[in-house]
Amino acid sequence: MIESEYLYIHVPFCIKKCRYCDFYSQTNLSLIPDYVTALVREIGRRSQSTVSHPKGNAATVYFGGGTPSLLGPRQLETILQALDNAFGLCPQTEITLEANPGTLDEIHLKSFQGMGINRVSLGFQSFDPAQLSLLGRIHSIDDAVHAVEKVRTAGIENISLDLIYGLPGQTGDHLIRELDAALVLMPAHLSCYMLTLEPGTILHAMHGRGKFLPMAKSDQVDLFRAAAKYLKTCGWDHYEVSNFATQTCLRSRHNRAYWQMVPYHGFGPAAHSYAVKSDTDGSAVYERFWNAPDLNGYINALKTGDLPPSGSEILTREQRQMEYVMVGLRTSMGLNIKTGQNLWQNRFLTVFQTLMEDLENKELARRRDAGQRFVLTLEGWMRLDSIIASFVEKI
Amino acid sequence: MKEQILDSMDIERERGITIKSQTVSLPYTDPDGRHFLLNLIDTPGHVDFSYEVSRALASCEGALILADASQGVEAQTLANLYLAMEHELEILPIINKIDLPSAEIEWVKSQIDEDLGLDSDQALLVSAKTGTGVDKIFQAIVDRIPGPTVEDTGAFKALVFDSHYDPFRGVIIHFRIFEGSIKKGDRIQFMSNDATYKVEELGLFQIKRNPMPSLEAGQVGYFIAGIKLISDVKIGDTVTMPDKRCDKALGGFREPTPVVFSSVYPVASDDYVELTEALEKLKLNDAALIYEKDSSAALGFGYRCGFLGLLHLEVVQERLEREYDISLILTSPSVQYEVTYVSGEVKIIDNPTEYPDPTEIKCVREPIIKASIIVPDKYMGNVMQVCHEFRGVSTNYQYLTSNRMEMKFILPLAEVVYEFYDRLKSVTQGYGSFDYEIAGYQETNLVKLDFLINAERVDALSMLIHRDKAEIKARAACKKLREEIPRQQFKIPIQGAIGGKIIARETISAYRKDVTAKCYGGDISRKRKLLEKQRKGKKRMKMVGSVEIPQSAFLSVLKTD
Repeated sequence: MIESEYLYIHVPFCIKKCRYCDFYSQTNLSLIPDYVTALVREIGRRSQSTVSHPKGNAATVYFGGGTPSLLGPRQLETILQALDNAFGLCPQTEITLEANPGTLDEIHLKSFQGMGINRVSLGFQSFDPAQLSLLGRIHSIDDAVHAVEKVRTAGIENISLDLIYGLPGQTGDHLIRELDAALVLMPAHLSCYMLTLEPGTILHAMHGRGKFLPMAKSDQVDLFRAAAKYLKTCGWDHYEVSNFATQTCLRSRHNRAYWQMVPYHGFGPAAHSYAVKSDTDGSAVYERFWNAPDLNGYINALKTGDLPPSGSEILTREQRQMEYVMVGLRTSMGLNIKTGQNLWQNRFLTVFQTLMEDLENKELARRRDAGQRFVLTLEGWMRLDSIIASFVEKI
Repeated sequence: MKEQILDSMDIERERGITIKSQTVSLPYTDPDGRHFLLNLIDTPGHVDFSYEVSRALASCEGALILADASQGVEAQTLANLYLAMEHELEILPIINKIDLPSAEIEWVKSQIDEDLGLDSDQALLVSAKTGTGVDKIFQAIVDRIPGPTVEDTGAFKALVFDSHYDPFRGVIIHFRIFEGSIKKGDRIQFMSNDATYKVEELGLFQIKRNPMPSLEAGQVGYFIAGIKLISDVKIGDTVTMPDKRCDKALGGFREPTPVVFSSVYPVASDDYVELTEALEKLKLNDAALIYEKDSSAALGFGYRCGFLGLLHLEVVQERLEREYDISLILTSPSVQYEVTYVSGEVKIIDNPTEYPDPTEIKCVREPIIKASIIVPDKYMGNVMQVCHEFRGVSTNYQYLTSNRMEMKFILPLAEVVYEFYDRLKSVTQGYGSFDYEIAGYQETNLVKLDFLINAERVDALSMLIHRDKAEIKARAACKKLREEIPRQQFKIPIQGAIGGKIIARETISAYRKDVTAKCYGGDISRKRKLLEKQRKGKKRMKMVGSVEIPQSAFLSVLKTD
């Protein structure tokens, strides 16, 4: 049996921390060599401990961060080699590298392409210099535009751009201009994120001190609708709340694992994993575990051959039900009635029939695939959090 | 060893406060080899519990007044000092927490001289945390506080200054002996009602009860005498013996009087029996708590309770919820209003459900307090503003030192029981301290504010409030209710009304516009936990008409200002 493995590598380095970002990263780049050594060890150790899985082809590798493009070709190659040894990479493996448009080097890109990296996600965020500076980004518009050319020249066609909208004062027209500027570059994929104030970020702290006044939530949601409608008229596939692809086959295969409750391995400090293991009696155990957001702890532990500091939780059936609703409703695949019936031991329809009908009557949701899938409409997505809450209340 | 030995309740430890006085007898040997037994009573500082202090002071020869080295002398310190002076006690100033980086010892010393009128040269510098200077306290007590004066008249005379209930032994009396001695088997008599009991056990408090064969004049300890109910014992009573009867009882205490009233309902109606039992048990250790049966159309059966203040209310609520595991809904706290009817009849009303139709009312008077606020003078303007917001009238102010002042206000009690103290602390950056005494009644323009959820009046949300404040309060409360009541399958109007007039309105839409932008591998656990937490809050819900209202919604209305 060949199982598809989904692999995530967290690269916790940035030249400068962006104001909105709550992903774990730090700016001491001199630790990169130690980090790479530790990472390779972790991959080796962890693949040994999952011997119950037959070694299969990796479906995806995703270098996220932080700023993975800060790693040099040799470092990335070492990591990919370790992943290949442990899980088996193949030409079909989707290998994504998140990159900062301000720190891309043409020669490096060429080597990246040569070692199998076939997808690049560029953190554009905005085409408006004022917005870029508010977000605390280090690149310029020119950098961004050139970055796309460089990636393409290096032979990587599958390019995704990240945009952030919903900054204070942004209008619908402004957002459409931003989208147009992105579309001109002909990316294969777009991630459009509504600006969210996450605790622990600089913007969050600025907000606390009254130095930053965010846009009202419902105004942001109106921008969300404007963006979704516009991209739809341009023929884009809106396959997840914040994600759009030019074609179905160009959806992020890696992220799909998160939204369909498929197991994934996360490596590096702060990386999360999801595993389905067998209990002694043969029943399935669903476990989420994560490395601590602590680069030094990570490096030190692996130096002595230990696994890094980590946490974990075994999911109850109820918790899996919540997660299924929470991630499932985010996608255009929606909730699969059969999966639901399984997960709810045939009570899915009993529990949710009235709620689903109510949402369908309000045109916040509809059935697809001959009634087998329950999918939110755009109007439904605009109210996703409270719809999820009303599902969860019934669990 | 636990860090806070005498503050044994969870609430006391968490909040770092003392609610219930505790007694401890400490043996001490001075450098000259003389043996002493020192009896300490640790008392609360908060104004809600000042009666605990007055009881303790009546049984002592001296008082240690503690000032925080970084916070300085507070209004409560001053109030407690006056109480101690009334009892003609020897006073020992102590400056504690001198280990803090923010300690300003010279500044606190000047306050001791000027605000308290004590000699700061005598103040002891202590850090209870590190132990610095603690030994000097014992020596100072021995040197400066007089030992008990013992008269030998052949009679037995002791003061009951506290009691508590032990489920195995019944009532345990805390007492101080003024004359004579007592041993196991003696018959004692309470002077207030002449009831007699046989002493089963007596001893000293030394962290736990330490039985002794006998106790004599000057000692502080406990006795157990088969007394079943706390209500059989009057705190402040004089204990004597039928065969060694003293001629005159000791001066008693001010009885604590509840000033804040609120109804308490169990979230689950079938918890009513448990609530009844829990209140009975709590009452055994809390003589100040009073309660009587109450009922609400929305919430069913419950109790109308009287409290010494909002802190006391919170403490009782927390103890009921934690120690007895009952989820509670409390109604908006109210003071006692004096309502004069057109007919000339006068009634005291503290419950909005009993408030008459406005056409029947001639006038309403509300209780007022005299407040004393001590602040650095740079906050004077802020304090003025806050007091005016809370309908206060300034009566006097004076400088205590060149930059600290005492400001006096007349304030409606109803305003103070809400968020006055929090606001005062915030506008004075924690430097303002506050003490008050009840000072009679004044006329007020009172209205009853009702809330309607889905067009249905929820009686448990009603409150009595000054007309000028009704609209702001109604708006804030409707907004809070909108946030707290979960979406249902239909739109729900929430309205605030005075009589038939709607003065505030919000609507809970079936589904609100909100969407989480990102949910990737590392976000799933955290976001699911948020959902679990949200859901847990909604488990504690009460069905009112066709709408499920969570406990948190009732509590949120209580808290809005």
